[in-house]
Amino acid sequence: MVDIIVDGKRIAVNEDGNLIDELAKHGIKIPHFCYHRELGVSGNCRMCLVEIKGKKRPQIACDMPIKEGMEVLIESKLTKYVQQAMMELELVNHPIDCPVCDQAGECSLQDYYMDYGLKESRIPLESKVSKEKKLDFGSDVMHDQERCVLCTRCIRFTSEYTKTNELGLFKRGDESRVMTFLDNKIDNRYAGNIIEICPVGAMTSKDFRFKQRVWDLKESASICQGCSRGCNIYIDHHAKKYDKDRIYRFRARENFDINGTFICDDGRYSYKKENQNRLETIKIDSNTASLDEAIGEFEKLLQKKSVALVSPSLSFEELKAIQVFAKERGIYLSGFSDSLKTKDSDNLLILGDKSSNRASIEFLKISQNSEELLENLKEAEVIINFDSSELYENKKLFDISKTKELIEISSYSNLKTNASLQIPIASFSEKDGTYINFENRKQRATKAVDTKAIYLNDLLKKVKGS
Amino acid sequence: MFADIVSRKFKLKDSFLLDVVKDHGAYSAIDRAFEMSSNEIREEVDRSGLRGKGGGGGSTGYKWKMMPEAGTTTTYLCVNADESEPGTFKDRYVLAKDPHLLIEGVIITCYALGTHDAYMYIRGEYTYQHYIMQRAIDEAYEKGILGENACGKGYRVDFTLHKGAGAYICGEKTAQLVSIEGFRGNPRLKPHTPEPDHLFGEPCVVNNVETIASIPYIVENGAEGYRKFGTDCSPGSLLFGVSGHINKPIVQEAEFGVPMMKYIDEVAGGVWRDRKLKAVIPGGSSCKILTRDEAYAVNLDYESMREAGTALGTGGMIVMDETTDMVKSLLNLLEFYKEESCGQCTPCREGTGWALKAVKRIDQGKGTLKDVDALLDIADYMNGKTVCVFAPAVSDVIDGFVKKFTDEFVAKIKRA
Repeated sequence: MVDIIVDGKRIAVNEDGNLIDELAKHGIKIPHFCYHRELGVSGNCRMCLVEIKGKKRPQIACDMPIKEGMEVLIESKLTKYVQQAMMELELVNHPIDCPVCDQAGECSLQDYYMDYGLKESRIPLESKVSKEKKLDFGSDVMHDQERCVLCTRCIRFTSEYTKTNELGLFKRGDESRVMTFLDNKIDNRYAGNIIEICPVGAMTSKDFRFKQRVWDLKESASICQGCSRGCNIYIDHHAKKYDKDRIYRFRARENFDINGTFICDDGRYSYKKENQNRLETIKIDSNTASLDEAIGEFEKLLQKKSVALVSPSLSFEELKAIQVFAKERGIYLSGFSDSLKTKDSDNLLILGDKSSNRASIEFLKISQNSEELLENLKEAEVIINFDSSELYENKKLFDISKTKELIEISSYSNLKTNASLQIPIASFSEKDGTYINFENRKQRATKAVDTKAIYLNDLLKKVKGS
Repeated sequence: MFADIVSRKFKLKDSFLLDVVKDHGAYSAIDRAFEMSSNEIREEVDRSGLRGKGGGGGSTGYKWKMMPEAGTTTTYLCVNADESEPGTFKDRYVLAKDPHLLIEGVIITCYALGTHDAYMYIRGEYTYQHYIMQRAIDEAYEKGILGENACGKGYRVDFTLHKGAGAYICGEKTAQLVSIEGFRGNPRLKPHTPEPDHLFGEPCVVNNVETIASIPYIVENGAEGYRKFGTDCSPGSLLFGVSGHINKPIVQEAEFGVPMMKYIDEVAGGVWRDRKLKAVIPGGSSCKILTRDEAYAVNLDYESMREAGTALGTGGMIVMDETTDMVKSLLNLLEFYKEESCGQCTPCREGTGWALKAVKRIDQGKGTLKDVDALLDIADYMNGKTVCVFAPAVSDVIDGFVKKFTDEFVAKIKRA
């Protein structure tokens, strides 16, 4: 740690860090487009130019080595002048189509214009360079060349992070543009990040386009359920007037211990699962029922010998409650879910184990042995399925389940089910919960959207009480 | 006034053939060079005060001395033959007239830097020069001048020609190295402390064609021999060229310090058609323009030019007579710069295009006085805020034209 002086104030920063990041830790914002912590310094946007005492010219903060006693002048006349100049230049060929741009509201260009620009345009509209407005880059990515500030974050993402190199810079000068090579399309499982790291509205999501203005969205910090990595995400949701709370997208949440600033597409678009194919009605033998009736039926079925199957993606609190419940009732509890253990993994974020909380199962010492489960199933008359997909994925298990009575307590609907009783419960986006990832990192997910479904723990309490 | 450090063999018939130049002292400096140690050559070049002849005028000796000790690590030499500056056409003479002088220079430089692999980045449009150069290199390999045992001195020197694809910016040394590495030729960020350039991750020196061609002379005649020419701070000579409204467009080597107008009048035959001089752009187009009065006051050396607020650059003077339309001249230049800006950093990418459009409006009679102010602002936005020196150069051009010939810009607006 060394001391540097920012506008006369002495602050301690890490000398090996990047000046932009180090100052951000102290709440000092330096505008920038091209610098990205995970993609490194490119130094092309020139937006982060600041005055450094003793230097003849303004220096780009992203590439400025930190030295003891260095004086950074952020509020100085020169810095302000340069920031305004860069803003004016960035907007020379920008179409300024904010009213129809999805990025509006979370656009660096917009924000910086309000903070640093505010200069009347001196460029006649007809003299702007026109480029392609709608280019399908493949995957979920739609590109607008006119809005692009050519920070090359997207290009660097494909060359440095995914190493798939689908994007390149073409032509020169103000005709420069980002394109894919010939007719090739973006083909990697992290393409959604390209949209997210784009500081302006040049890269938009085909999925999210024109669906929702971002200033209406509420964000909640959560944990992705796609695999056992436990990537940190934001759930962006909004309840339109006379409509229920709906999730519009997942975004990566920064956590350098786990996912950095990116998430994979599988996780990103898993938000759809939260909106679609949800188990919504309580049913007893295919007839709609009330919760009280369902609890009565549950109690009745529990009189018979039961086996409970639990999903390794339920939260720690739920797993614990189920374990206690099963113990009290003498029910055999299994966390068997081998169908979620796949070979689909890479060396970036995606892990083969598609459950989000297997470590909790292991911590609670819930058995995952298949033979033990089958042995117990022989004598059982009732299967209680706590949100586990294993029952439907495993043919052997599914065949056995057909001969038994099934209680389905789940967030997601399954067409194959022949449950005697089904009770919908809150999914991960609708509840607070603790999840332990593959390297035993305990993380908290907070509730994002409201639900009419009952929380699993409340249900178990009610069953106990009656 | 005249010198023949580089141009000694230019007048010979078929001077690009080894047999021809062999009788006139080609490769005579090799023996002397290999008698010296690599550090001695670096020292000699440093003492000669040789300044890079590609336009910047930085000390070659300083650049060489920054390189690691010979033999400690892999290093590279890159000869910059991407001469595309408007008004500059000196390196092409060296390439076409005396390629063997260049090869001699490369061998000595390689030895001095402890380098075994040299590249030459040659401008894509120089097809003839490329042909001559490649033929000379092939001939040199055949005769054992290059190769595993270069000139029989037991030192390997491999020399590879790399043809550019027609980008002016690849004359910028870091862009050139990036281009040789096989990427899009965008300049790199400059280091904060003095350090050598890097090619393939290893230290590398980039020298201009004429700089390399001056090395044999320095080795043969010593630092003092080179210092006999020129001034104290700008020793030696340069292949000056004059083009534009001139009676005799020419490239002629002369020592530094000659008054500019003396050179223009005596060597290039003065302004054509008995017209009066209006302005001179001194060193390639990327310098501030000089008015008639200023042109009469300057000498052709780095210091005198700096005092006049411009730069010597490559020494390729563009002369403009009294009938020249300065708005159209600036328009012409900006068309070039707008085309050649790599587009990497914002001020240059947007500034060149914006400035061009503003000047175009003024020229078409659609401009306003605000456009003139905007031009000066753009010049300031581009100065010292970019990755490489392309934008500051354009800034100088705009600034020079608009400030020194404001009347003409305003007149065009008023007339409209």
